[in-house]
Amino acid sequence: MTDPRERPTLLDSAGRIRIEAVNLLSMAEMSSWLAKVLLGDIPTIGADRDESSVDLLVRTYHRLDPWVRHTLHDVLLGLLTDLARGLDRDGARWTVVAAENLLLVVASVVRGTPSVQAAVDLLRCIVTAAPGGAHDDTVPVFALKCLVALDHRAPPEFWLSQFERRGVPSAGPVLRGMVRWDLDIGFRWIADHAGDAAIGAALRASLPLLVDRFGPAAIMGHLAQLAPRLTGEGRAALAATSRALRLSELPEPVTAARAGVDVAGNRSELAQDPAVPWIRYLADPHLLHEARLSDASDPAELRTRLAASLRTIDLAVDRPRHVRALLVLAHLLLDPVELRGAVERLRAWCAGDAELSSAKREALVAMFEELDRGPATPLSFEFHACAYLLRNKRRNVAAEFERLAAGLEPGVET
Amino acid sequence: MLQSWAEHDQCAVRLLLHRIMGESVVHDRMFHNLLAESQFSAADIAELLELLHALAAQGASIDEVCGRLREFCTASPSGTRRTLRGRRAQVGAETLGRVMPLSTFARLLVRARYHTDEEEAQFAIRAMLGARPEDYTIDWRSYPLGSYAIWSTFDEAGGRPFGDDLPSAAELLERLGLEPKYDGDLLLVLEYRLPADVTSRVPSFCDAYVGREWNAWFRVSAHEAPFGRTRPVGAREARGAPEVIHDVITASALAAPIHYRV
Repeated sequence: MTDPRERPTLLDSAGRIRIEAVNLLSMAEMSSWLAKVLLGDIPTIGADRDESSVDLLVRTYHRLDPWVRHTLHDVLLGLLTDLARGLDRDGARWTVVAAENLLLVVASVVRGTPSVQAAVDLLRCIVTAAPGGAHDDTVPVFALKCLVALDHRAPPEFWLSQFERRGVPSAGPVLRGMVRWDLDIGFRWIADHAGDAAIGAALRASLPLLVDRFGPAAIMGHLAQLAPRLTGEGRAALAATSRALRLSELPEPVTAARAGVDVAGNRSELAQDPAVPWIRYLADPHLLHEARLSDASDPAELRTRLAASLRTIDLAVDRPRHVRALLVLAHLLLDPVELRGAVERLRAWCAGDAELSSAKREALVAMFEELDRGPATPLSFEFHACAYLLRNKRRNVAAEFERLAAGLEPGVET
Repeated sequence: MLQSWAEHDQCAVRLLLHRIMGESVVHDRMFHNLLAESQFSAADIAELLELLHALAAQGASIDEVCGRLREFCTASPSGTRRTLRGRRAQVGAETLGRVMPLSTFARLLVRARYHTDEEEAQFAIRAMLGARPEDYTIDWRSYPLGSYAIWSTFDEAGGRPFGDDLPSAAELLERLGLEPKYDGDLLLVLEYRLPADVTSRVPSFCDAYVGREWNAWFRVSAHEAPFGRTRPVGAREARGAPEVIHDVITASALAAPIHYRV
């Protein structure tokens, strides 16, 4: 219960928060007051009509003396610690709404201050908290958003693991986190999920910010590459957003001839700069198909280099696009030995995963469908069958790999 | 309201309220509004009386009284909500309007899961500034313009809510009884037409005190008043602007480009 003697001093005669009174609060008093406001234990007096407690606190923060703001940062870090500790405990005092309030305040006032790193450490504790806690995924996803708001730069593996764990609700922060790391990587991830409506919506929502940060030319370049992979609806929505932002028109779906030109450009780049990571090539099965079809000049060299890359892919990293690239490459090489090696590695990757995670299953289905659409080979039927069985969750995937591997035994034409 | 009660009821409640009204200006205003509210039904009054009696008898703390009153404002025991239940307002204008700081609107969109963070939302909103509503994308049209309920104003003479020449941010905030924004924030000015299925109502005590955020400026409307009135911040003697409340609407209702004042 609040000491009634404290509260009138926080308000002036008109009912507004007296900044000078807040400036004089001790750290303990400020912590107590802030927690009660965020938890809804006391009315947030002094707010505007439909202003939330977060709006009031942020507005108050901007009027505080600079050294008091530092105290407020420390208080917020203390409350974040409390939230992180209580996340997996029943009966924790932070309700979802209160936790969101706290995270919104942290996102608004801690960014760009010396307290950022401490806040990031605590937020990462929250997002890696054991699943199935009292808050389910709502608070961890909001903590992810808070990490984005604090401009946290984490490698793609971190964001991908969060997406695999938390699914669609995390699409927005994962997209932003990936792009923050590397724009190309971010857009490749989007391309890998081009049919996902939530990721499409997240892309459109972030577009004005991305255009501001990376420039219209860079963003339009990526959108042009992405457009052919989108569903009709997704493409129309993206085109409408880019028009509203006064960006140039999205191009029509890429033709084979046009893709061939792009591939040639990429190959030329690769030839000139051996340091260019192969993964840029590997991530795009469409380009690889086109590369094979349009590559009449020096197929031997391309195959040699692709085969070398194939053997270096580390499946342990567990990136869906690596997996997909692995089989696409092997398929392109049309080399039974390489293909058998790839399939065996995939089988090992899936070993012990009787119930595939949805993300892994989705990645595999996409891979087999991609292969199925590729140049016809004696394995095409296997690809088609694997995609069908995985999509319909009919069989354990390990059995399908057994069948696939059996089709590659010596003596079978490939 | 109190005048219609029996004398012993009045005494018990007055003793309870006397203790609480000294708590702060905002509490004081809240209880004046409670006593002056003319939109309570007979059933509301009976329940309120019972509640206040019980709180007085048990010597409830101020926080407890406030919390129970918030619960009262939320819904009746039968589950019927008490908010947005005031009289239908008589709005003599085609368009209504509201103002909102950019940062507040951005956080609203983050909370409503439209955007990842405030910065992203601010960029999206800035991209809308000045654009014609008919050019909005489907995504933008779905943006809510408030949360829970929307407080709104209009021009009594039937014109645009803030006139053809927009006043400064300070003037707008003062007229509407809103707190000053902080430096660097923009004040957004929204003009919209209410969709046919949304009714504007005279704001009631329950509309003002159902949330956890209370302001000192709300006052209940006079008996049978056609709409509420804001309480200007700087000049209390000045006439406030008309004020109504209605359900949350989306940006698809906007009737003019979003303007802003610094």
